[in-house]
Amino acid sequence: MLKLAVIPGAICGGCDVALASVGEKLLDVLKYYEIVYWPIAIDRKLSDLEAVEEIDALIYMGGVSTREEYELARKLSSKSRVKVALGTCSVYGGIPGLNSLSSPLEVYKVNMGRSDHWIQGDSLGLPQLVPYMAYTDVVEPDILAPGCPPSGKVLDQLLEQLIEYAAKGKIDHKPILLGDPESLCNKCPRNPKTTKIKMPGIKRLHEVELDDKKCFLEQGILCMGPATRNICDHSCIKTNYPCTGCGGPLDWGGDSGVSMISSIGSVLLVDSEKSLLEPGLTREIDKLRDYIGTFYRYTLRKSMLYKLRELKKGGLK
Amino acid sequence: MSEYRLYKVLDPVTLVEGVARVVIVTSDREVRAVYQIMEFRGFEKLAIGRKMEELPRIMSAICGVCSWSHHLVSGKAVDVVFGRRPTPRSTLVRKLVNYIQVLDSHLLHFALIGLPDVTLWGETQRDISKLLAKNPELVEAALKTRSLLKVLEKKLVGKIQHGGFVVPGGVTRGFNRDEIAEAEKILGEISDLTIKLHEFFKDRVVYSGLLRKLAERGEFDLKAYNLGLVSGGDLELYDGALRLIDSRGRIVAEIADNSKYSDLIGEATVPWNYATLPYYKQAGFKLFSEESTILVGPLARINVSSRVRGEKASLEYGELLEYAGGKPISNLLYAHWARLVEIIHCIEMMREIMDKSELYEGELVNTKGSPVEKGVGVLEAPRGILIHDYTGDGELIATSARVITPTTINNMAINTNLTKVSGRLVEEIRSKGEPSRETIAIMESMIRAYDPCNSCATHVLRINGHAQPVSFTLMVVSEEGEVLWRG
Repeated sequence: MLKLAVIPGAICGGCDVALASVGEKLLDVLKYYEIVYWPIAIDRKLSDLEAVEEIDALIYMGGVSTREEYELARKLSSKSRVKVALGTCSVYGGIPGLNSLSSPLEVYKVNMGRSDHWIQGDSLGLPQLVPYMAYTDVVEPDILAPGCPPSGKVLDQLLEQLIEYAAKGKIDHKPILLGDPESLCNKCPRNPKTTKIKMPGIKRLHEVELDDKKCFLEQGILCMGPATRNICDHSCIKTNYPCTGCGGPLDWGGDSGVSMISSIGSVLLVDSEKSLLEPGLTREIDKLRDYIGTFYRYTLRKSMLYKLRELKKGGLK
Repeated sequence: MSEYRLYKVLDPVTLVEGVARVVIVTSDREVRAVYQIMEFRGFEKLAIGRKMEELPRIMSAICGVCSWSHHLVSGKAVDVVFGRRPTPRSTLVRKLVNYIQVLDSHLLHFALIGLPDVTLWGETQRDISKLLAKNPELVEAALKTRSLLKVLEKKLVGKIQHGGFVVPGGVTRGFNRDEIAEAEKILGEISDLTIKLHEFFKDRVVYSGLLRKLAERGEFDLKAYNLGLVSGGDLELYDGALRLIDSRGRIVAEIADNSKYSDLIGEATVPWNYATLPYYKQAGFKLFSEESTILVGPLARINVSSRVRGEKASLEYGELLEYAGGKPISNLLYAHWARLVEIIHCIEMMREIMDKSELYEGELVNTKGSPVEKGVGVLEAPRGILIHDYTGDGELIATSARVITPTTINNMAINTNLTKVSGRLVEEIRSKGEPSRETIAIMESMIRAYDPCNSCATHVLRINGHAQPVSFTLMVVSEEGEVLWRG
């Protein structure tokens, strides 16, 4: 039997629940693997896992927010043959990655600032916060399984990969980015004519009564579909909610924001570009307001923006 | 500044097990228990600068277990900010989803954690696998409710966790009669299975006298303030007045305007936890004291309500009160039964909503309203009162966010209960070198009775057994900081 360990980092619990809910498929994996650690599912101590010499497959969920998590992620990864980043936090930093441009102290101060009462004393060994990271900032995983949380489709693909590894003993073409290598627009149930989309200006989500058949972009609503990998089969779009980009960019190493800006550039007010000219278009684009929360809601930690900022600080090699 | 002293843990924490840790601090004068939540993701910071209409989807990521509670309460807060009263139809959609959230979470806890914990009392292993060996049919029924709930959720909301459907003034999607007819069928199956769990619990735990016997143990007692939503005195999960009662059951405050929640709840920052310690503001902050502790959650809701709607739920509520000897019920083990009352209540209320024609007709969203600077949403999440409080600028960009979750509110209560048993634990370690199995079992049962969700608590999390620290690291330290014992 091969050894499988599932490690929670800084998580919301969504990935845990999603993985635990795949049902029978998980039983197929258990024909090849023994779960040596997974706090949600089995009662094993971390010390038991420490005693294991080699882990065949390690699934890491969530980001890294404390020194202890960082060290644990490194230590366990170094003795794991196949490393899997499960969920968007693990792969791209996820929503908590929106704090990537602030120091842990700046983040914590926001909470402390509202307090009515302060107690002084010892921290009783409370883990020390570190600048927030994705798991992919700590090690280079072999398999990347994005999604907030990963969909049934991504989890099925992951389990297939694990079974294949059990049979072949190796992983080809690392890293493997799960999901389908296409944008969400490709098979969108709203059938957008992707070459003919016209975005009639920029509207915010509360400004429009959403049409449940029409392409969001054609309603002026920013849908991250064009810049997002199809990991989900449109589960949000089907509930009449625009894609917010939790699947991350189309390819590993891509940049959601750059790709979305380019998409908007080719569809926004294409009919009236000549009369609006640059100032008119700029005014319209300004309506987007929160660029980071819109374009990089899940991927700021891995974005070009973050890298540029670190370069400026001299902190990135 | 404070008069409270805690002692340094010299042993560096290299490995942290599970969600949380219990540290017992000893000195010649006292023994105290501290329930520590170990990480921090900072949602209150990352909310700043975001478009407020998008906060419901962003803030739902606080918790993957009760993501809909956060999605809904965030929606309630932004309704206020946008000055929009949600349409009657959208309110029904939201309420229905909220009932599913509470039903799902409660059934999970009741069947897979609560039942083994109580019915296997006294045995070494008190988990679902042991219950499976003893009562396979029962566990099969419990697991079947899990898969049925997932089918129901997928049918109604599409994406089971972190889906989006709430917008200011309404929802993006309604249900049609065919969808609801299918959902009703599934709900019927869940209801039938629930009856089996219900009967088993009543038989083994209630009629056998086990619960009364266990409840005689003083450690599970909590003489604290209880806080919950009520609607005309009835138990309420979505929209009502905040009612606070004292440990003798007297109504101390009832606030219809939820935005004034901070008249009741203060927050203390402590250096050993990333979560704050909320307390009853008028009582002043008293660490480790029931005098300023607030309890929220199913038991608190039962205690603050005068009635529970739903024919069967109302009967069950009456039976619970009679057995426990009236309100307020101060013994935490009764929280399991309180959860059962609410399971029945949720099923009955869901059926009531599904029968209303307003669920199928009318507008899904109200797009008119005059925005204001500040909005507060208060909701009963499965584990109790959940608050999202936002402010924004003239362009509806968030300038601040404050989130208070039920597990955070219950943190003081958990510490208080754990402290009650920690003296004995230290005594056992001193005399026998290790704590007795029974003492550890009591501590586990205490934490389980609270059903803490630590992802919520510091918007944060390490989850264990579905938001349940089934195992936790326990350590005892001396005044000098020496680690005396580590579990």
